[in-house]
Amino acid sequence: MKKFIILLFSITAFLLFSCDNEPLFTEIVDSNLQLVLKGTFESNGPKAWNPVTPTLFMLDIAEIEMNGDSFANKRATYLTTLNNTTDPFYNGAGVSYPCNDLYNGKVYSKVQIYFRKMIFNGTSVITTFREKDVQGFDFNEYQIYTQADYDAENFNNLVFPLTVPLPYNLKYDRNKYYVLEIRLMVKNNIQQYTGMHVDLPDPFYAFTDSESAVAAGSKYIGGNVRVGAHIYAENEVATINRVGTFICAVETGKNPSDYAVPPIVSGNGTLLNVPIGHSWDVYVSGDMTRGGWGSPVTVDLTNAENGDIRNI
Amino acid sequence: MKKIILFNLILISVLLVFSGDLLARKKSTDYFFRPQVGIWFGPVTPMFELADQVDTSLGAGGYFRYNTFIQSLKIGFDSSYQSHSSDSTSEVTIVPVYGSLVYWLPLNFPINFQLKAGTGACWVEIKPDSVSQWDPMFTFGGEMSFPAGNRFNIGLRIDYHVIYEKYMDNAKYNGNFINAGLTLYLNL
Repeated sequence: MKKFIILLFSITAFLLFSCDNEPLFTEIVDSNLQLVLKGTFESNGPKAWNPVTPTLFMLDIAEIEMNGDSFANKRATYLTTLNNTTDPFYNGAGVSYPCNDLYNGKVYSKVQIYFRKMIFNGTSVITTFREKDVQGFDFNEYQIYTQADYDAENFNNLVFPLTVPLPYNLKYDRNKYYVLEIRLMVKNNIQQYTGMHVDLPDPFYAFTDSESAVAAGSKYIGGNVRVGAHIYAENEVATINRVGTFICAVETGKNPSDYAVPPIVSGNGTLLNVPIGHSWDVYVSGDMTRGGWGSPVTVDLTNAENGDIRNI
Repeated sequence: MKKIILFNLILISVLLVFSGDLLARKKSTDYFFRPQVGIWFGPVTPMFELADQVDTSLGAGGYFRYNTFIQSLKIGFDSSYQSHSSDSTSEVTIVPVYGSLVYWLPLNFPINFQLKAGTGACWVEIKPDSVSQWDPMFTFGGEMSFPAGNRFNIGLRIDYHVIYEKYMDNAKYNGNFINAGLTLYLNL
């Protein structure tokens, strides 16, 4: 009897002091991935607000997936203040979205976002947000985009889910800490719609139709949601400086026009958090509409080290 | 958790209804003091922070009990399996393997009540990380059972498992689980 107990305690004690163990329960409760949402075109150095009429933007997201994996399946809502540069959604800091880890060793290429509601105030109708009545119009359900030919690759116009490509194929490593940044272009991308279909309030506010023109009297305003995604491992990033108003970086061989919003964009000539181990094409533009990007300069960060600064 | 409590209350009522007949039995505990082997299955529930990550599921296990020189004290060896999935990417699977001391409460009652405490090791696997290892664990719990003939016992057991990881510098949480189970065991 006593021998049994002694043996049992010895086994436990041995395990207690084995040093290869990791804190697995801590690992599963805490995430190595940080998911950040921003309402800006720029990943850093966002431009100030142009004068706008609505004062609030309300966002309700059901779930965010990566290549079909439900790593962020908790619903979250955000009430953001438009005319305030201190709101983290618009000042470049971002707001966090709860998420779990991704599968170790799996390669990820895209993010899928399930938007439930997008509401601007500044209109007369009442909408339910956070289970309460608020003054504003949920234009998300009218963002249907009809196109003459069904192009399976053209994901940009579908909002449920809205699929956003990552800047590069990421092989997830459980030993690293990642930041996934999803940028919904709200700031300086708002338009007043009047004279629309009788089912829609008059006027109401939604995203500008610069991507896909909306005809007067139309019921649908689809094709104008612009979202970009960027992902990087902490402590594996460099900084690139290039003179210009807006600069952006895409992986060498790709084009900024491949994206609704390029993965890394700066409004002040400094691109932060550019992942090392890749080669990047850096473009300059005078305005923030698409297609205005000039010729690129290639910056090879394949053998760069964390914290490197490249000036071009 | 509410379901488990309700389930337990129903089971206790059923046991008490049947206990009237059992009172007529003589010395049913004589058989109970033999070595025993049994199986169990029932709801297994992660606790605290882990409860936000993974869901309750069904677990099952088996055990063996051997007498000691004290009649009301037995030594037990248990092992079980439980896998907790979730709607998200998180998943936890544990296989506790432990020894315990089982104390029979000397009550003059046809239902046998036992208390137990033990220690051992637990195999833990987590996803999406896909990492597994053995951790030290501690357990305590209680059991109630009534004899169904000389050979069988039917009962309810509740275990509280603590899978100990906080000895590691960067650990913030232990694994805590409450396992409830219907059990059937034989007096050998």
